[in-house]
Amino acid sequence: MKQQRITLPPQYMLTLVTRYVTGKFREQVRSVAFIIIYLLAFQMVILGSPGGMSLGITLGIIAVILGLTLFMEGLTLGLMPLGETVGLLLPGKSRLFQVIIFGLLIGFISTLAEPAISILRTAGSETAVWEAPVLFHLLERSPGMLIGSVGVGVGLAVAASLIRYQYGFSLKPFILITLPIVLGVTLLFTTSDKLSSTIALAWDTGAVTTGPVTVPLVLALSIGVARASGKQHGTSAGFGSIALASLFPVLCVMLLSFGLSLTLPDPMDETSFFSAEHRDQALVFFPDEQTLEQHAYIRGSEDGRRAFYEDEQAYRQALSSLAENHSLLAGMSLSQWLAEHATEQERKYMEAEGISSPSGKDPYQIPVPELLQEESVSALRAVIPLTGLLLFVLLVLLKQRPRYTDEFLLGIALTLVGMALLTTGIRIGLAPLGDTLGRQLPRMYQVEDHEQSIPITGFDKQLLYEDISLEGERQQFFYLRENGETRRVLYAPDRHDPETAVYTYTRTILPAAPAITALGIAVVLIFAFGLGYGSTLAEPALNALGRKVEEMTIGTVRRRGVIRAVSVGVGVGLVLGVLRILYELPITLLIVPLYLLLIPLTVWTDRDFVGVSWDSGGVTTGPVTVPLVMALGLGMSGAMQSIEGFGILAMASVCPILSVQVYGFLIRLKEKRTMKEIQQEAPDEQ
Amino acid sequence: MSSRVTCTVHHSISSRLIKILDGSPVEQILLESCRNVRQVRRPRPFGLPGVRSTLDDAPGERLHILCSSDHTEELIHLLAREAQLKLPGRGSIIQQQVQIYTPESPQPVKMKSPKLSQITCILSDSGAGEETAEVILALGIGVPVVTRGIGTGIRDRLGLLRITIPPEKELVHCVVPTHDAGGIMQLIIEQAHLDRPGGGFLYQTPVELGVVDSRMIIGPQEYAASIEQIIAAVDDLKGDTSWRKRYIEPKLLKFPLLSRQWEITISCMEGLSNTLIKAAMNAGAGGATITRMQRTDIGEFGAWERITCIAAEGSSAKILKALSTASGSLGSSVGPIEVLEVPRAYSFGS
Repeated sequence: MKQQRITLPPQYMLTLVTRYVTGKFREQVRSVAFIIIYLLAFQMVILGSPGGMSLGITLGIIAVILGLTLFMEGLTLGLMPLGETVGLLLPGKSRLFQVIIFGLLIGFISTLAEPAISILRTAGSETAVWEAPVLFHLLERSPGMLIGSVGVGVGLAVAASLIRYQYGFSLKPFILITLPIVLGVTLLFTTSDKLSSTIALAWDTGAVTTGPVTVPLVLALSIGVARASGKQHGTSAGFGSIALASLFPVLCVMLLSFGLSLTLPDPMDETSFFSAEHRDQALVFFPDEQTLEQHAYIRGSEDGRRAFYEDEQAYRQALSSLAENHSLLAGMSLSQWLAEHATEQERKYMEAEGISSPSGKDPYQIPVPELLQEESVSALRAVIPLTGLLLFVLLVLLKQRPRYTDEFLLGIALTLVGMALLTTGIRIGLAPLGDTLGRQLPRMYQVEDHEQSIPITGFDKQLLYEDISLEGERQQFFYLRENGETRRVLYAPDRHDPETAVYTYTRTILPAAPAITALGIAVVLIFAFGLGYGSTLAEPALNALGRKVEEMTIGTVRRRGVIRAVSVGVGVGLVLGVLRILYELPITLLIVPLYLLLIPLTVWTDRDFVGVSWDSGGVTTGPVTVPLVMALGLGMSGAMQSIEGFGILAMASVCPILSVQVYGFLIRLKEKRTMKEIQQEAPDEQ
Repeated sequence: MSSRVTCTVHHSISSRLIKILDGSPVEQILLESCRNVRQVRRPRPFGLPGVRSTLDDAPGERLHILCSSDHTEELIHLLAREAQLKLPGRGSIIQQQVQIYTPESPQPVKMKSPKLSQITCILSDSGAGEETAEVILALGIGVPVVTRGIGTGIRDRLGLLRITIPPEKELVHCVVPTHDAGGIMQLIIEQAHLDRPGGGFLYQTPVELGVVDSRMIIGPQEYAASIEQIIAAVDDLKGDTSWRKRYIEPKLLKFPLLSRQWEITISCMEGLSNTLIKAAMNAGAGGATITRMQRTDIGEFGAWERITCIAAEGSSAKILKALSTASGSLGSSVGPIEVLEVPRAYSFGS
């Protein structure tokens, strides 16, 4: 007798589906509510920006919630059960070397699939090749090698984790051996001018490589392997693989940087870099002179451009040719170049040549359909190769099928649609919102320059002198004596009133350094904390980790508790990251002590919590957090004229490890207290 | 005849118990994670008057030991002594008589008026376990033990629509005096909303003997003796626990209970449950609950699953036969089929 399939009446089906959909949707609304309300409130109340929500932002927010709902459900239905099934069956049906190869492949493919590298390139978009040659080479000239080394790191980490589960080794020795090595290499790097600029990049790669698809998949796979191998008992089994995937790539990137540094020239100043004298060294980074020249226009300053040419004549000639010769601007329009890259002097020269600077920028329109298409492609890239590999292993090597094929296919489809919607929503909704705030925030702590007008009485035209340039351009100036010093000041006819003989001299008063107000900093730090806290609450990979923790501990450790602990950690991490940018602290000064603090904590922490806490560090930086954090970091570092936006993600990665360990301590402390009370109050019957 | 011994302890103790069981004459040991829920009463913060009452989840582990009845008493003494179960709050241990299915002896053992019973609630809604545990504590029934499982049944027959019903179930177990079991079941059905479609179900199984964890409340002691001590003293004076009967079952029950049901349990290596469940459902089983376990008596902690289904006496023979055939083809990856009497059960629409 075969069990008949039940067909429900349509209204009952509708009730079931409606209840299911609204339940899932409500859950995601709750998870993103904080960050959305927070960003809008900050924009409206604190920064006093007008506008509220534009159509793009509203659409973006709806897409984020919808995307998160679909993505999470897709993971639960498709990828996670697949990962767990493969994990369960793999150790029993394959040899050790097969498990290692599988782990390496999973790690490597997942790194290629995650769009992490584009984030790092954005962070390093201001990197100057002459100041940080190795960093520039890694990001701009050989990103393939960078991704490759990260991939090798993640692959090694996954393989090491699978072996660890199969033989029942604890995570602690792995961390206690790897961490001092990574920290040691970091400290060594600080001693070299060439290498120190890559430290922040290396630590950031550790943070960004583990994305929203990799984490749940690797987690499910690890739990499966750990359960099947049966070497461990208790709730810790299966956690800790993400931790190694955050540490190993750091080491790999550092090793690659070291290798590259042997062949690359030392840092130098911009003028020397573009000068003909160092042309051979500069051409290590560029295929030909024309590309180098192009670089001088799009990344260099006026000094660099001047240094590139043999004499002033050649420089001016090149400037004059910009209107026709667009290749020098690498696709950038002349007006954009004039507005963003040219100096005042260059602009004046161009004006004199009859090439005017733009009156204003066209309002930027977000091309939603193109974005959606782009994000769909990256969603496909993130999901399909990994799923393909797992399916291949399941179907061909393990000769099994997913338990529910229809459910699995629906899961994969939902994951794809969800991820595309989520990332598009973030780009049109949350990121612009964060970006606006990031750019406006520096206003909060900067004491602005202001001008002071001083009337000079008894001004006479006889005081004026005139000079002439090589092109025959004339200008008038006068000498001003102030505080015992005589300076040359350009004459502006509109400030001179010949009738009263008064010349209004305008003097710019520079703020006393540092240009920072205590209240402004407090607001910025509060903003950074809330941004980290709120965006992490909505992070899908963390949600998946929280669910797994709750499931494995039968609810004694709650998902909400873990998520909150991690979010607080990310919040604190961002505060530290912002402080680093504000006070220009070296990244090593923050990273090394924090990780050193983690060594004793890791030794003391309960075995159950070590894996969970280290995994939390890896999962925090996902699709919701990264764009918002980068917006803040770039906005801040742009305002502080810092060379790089790196390091903030690394901080957002280390602090949650600490906060989750503290949370674990608190739980164990409470448990011990309860146990003690039970013992003390028990009647003495023994 | 065999015994099923279920010992629930704090998770820090379980490794020690597994170690001392090494070499004991047992047929199977399965380990399951659980949580013990108790009420914690603490003075209000900042010296405010009154007491704040919250729920405390202690991580625990449940050992399901299958052994021959001859060794049961010795085993229970050993475990109770090692885990100090006489102290309230340390855990509990119960023994149930199960029939290991063979075609010759398919019937469960009929126990004559057992003093204790175990009530198992299988709840569908997430968070329902917490609510039910709270109800059990509020009624002063005992320390509830919560575990997790995956349900199959109607869900699997809905096609893709199954995804709208979460498969995860929370299982709440509590041991109660048999004379109160009916009344308590009525109360739980009402309080835990089992009288709604898809809410879940509950059933009662007889317990032969056991040490029950009575430490329901943790907090400052207000009297010279705790309520547990007073109850134990009255039990001693009265000679049994029937004086404690609190719930008088009305003649006409609000929620009609099913009788003459059997609990059929079988364990297997993880991943094989599909085959067994399919066989049982094709033979007429309405559904099954899968719980994840670790088998500890085979040298390593192997990932195992335990399948439990409740079936009417009339259809049980067929299901048992189908399960027996299916398990025969899987060899040593499957444990024996255990059959236990279920005097009362309830599910919506029953």
